Amino acid sequence: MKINSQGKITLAHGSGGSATRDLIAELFSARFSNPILDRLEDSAVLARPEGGIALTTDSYVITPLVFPGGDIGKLAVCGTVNDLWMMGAKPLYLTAGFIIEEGLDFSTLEYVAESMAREAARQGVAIVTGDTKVVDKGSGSGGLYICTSGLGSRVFEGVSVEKLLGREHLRDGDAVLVSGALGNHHACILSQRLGIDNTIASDCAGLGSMVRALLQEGIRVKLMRDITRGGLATVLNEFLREDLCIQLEETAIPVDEDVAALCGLLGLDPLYMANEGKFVCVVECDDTAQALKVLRRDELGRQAAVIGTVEPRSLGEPGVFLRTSLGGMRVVDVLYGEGLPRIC
Amino acid sequence: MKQPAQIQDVVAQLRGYEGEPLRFMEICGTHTSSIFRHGIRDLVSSQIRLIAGPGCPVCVTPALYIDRVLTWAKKPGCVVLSFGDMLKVPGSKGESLSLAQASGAQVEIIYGPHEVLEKAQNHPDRVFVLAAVGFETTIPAYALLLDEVRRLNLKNIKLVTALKRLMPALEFICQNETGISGFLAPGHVSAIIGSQVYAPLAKEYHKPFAVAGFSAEQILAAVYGLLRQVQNGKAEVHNYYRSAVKPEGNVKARRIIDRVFEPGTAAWRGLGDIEGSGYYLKEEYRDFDGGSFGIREDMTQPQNQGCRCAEVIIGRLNPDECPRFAKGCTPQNPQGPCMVSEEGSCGIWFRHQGRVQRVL
Amino acid sequence: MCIALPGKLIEVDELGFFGTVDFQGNKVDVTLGAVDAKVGDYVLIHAGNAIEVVTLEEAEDVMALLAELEGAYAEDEAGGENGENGQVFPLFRGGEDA
Repeated sequence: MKINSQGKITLAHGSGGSATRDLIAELFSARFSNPILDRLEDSAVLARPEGGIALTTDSYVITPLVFPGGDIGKLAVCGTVNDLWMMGAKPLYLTAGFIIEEGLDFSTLEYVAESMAREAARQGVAIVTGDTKVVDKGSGSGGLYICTSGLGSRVFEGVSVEKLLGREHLRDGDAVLVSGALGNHHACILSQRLGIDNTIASDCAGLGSMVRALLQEGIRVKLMRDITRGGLATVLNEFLREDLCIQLEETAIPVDEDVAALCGLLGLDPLYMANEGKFVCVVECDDTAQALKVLRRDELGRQAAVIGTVEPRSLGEPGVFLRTSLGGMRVVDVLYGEGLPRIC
Repeated sequence: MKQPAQIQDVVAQLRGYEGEPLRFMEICGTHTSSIFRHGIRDLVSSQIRLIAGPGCPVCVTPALYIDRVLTWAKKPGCVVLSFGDMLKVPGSKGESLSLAQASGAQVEIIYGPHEVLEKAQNHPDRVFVLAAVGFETTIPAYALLLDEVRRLNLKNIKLVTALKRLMPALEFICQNETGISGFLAPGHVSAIIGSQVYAPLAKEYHKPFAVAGFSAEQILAAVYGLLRQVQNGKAEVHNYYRSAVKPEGNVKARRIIDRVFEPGTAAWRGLGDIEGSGYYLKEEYRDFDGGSFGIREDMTQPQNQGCRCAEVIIGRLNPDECPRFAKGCTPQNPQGPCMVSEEGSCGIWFRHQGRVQRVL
Repeated sequence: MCIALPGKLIEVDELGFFGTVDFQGNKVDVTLGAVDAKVGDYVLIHAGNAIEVVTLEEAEDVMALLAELEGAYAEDEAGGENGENGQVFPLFRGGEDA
């Protein structure tokens, strides 16, 4: 049964019969092709990578499915590989599970599959196994969910990160850097949903080239986190220890002008907005200048900046502070609520 | 006191103030947020307290209002349109629009009221109900909307209103407050109502007013201006937001408001009724009403017993002075309207963990 | 109550009711019925509605306003002449003019 690209997914495509087989073959296998996947067995049998293994899992439920700067497929690949890179692991293998709502256009699914294949190739990972299910129309949320897992190796190209990363290595004087401007992804999605006309694109991208460069140049990286849901503020609060706090400088935090204007319009704060191609890293004080140079050399890191320092924290003090342009001090807590447009 | 030449001088003067303790009220919730966002409390001497006022119009909205909007959200064929601020405010049974949405009720977030027009035109089979809240800043938008709805002859739009008038509420505060030295007046409400409306209150209650915008510089200058007024025994109205606020305000906007809405008694969550403090649809526009009338705050309700929110709203108590603040009353477990949403004074204070004193 | 942002009015429809405002690259449809604005004006937008036409200075000149204030108080203090800056003013004086 050949796939009708003009048509829509039906429940038959999820039944496990020939329709399912054809769907997988035409839409996914052909595009994701690699020696492991091509065997189309119940499990992917992998060679054990050197050193420690990192394993991550994630689910993608975004609407709209396609947006300026990316789509749910590209997001799934980049989001998964980034979770591995943040632990200093080189991504090797991905799995992809698709939950498809009956009625989704084939052309949309084709587009997403194409995008995933392209991005996986760009990120140097193989999608080695997957699954598809078709569900009744009814949740009404756009028609497609993607669930992934990713496996990576913590030893690659001669760099072993076993000793480098972890909260226990943070100390007074460490520098806090961010790889670029904040809030673009969240601003883009919100603009799409509210119908605001602008050229803000999602920053969806893989962070591998920057992480690899930092580690290979011997930068003493204590911690890395990609700045996704909840934004920078949430991420920073999550990795602190009780004896340390972070002092941020407002004037150092990069935000694009159009994103800042959108925030002003809707009452949003870039510190709390999601990104899909940005990370924060904490490095040894003496390595700050070099780390910044390394990030800025990468085309994704042109707006990288040193935004703060790690300092000792007194008992009962909050964990993250921001010094404003006038020298006032503001506490930066985790995100409460959903960062929705407000009038007040 | 040397005349400040730059904003840093203003900061230095405010930081160095060692005179008698002063309490200035930020009337507007957006000022409360801005003051925290710019770290202003940290720049100002502890002898000058910036205290939160009635806060956001959303949090002083009675539980019964939310109940009525929820009823629409659960009705088949109806869609409730709301600002983000409203989503978490609970009704009388603890359910909010956000919770209802999660259980399948029809709730959509909008940025501006006019967005209902396209939706209503595209879906003539559905009824779109606006959760119409706000002060005078927002009311012109609703008035303009209804005239356009009439012009387009749309029949599937309703409003449930909880619209507030600032001046009666301010007068109530002046009559019931203790120890407020001056007022920071809301910049954008003032753009509509003008700066000279505060003059009678300033005179009668001998309180200085400063109309301010929302940048750090404007707020600091306004606070400094209030300080100087107090020191000189003045009770005047000063305008630090002249690019947007005229003494007479936006006359056209007010005429539009008065064409569609009329004042009436409104209920304030935690406070009870304040005469003339609300705006209601006039007779000739009442066919748009979705249940805005007869909303009263039952002051005997358990949620109002023992809660000190009323005192916080009128500035008698600052969030961090309430004995329950952060002890038993938190955003996760709110005891009263000031804490129920992130936009209430206590919610904002909690998020910013009160005043910060860091030795740099 | 008060989240509003100034932007440039770049388009107005024939009836003068709807327009498009540009906020540093974000183009938003707004209603204009509460102001008298023309293309090129800067308008203050709250909840998608223009509440005022504004003169867009980079920053409100608050320092000039404070200078005015100090000038007025210095005059009062010196009984009509321009007093010297650097005086310590008594905390409260009699008289009130609103």
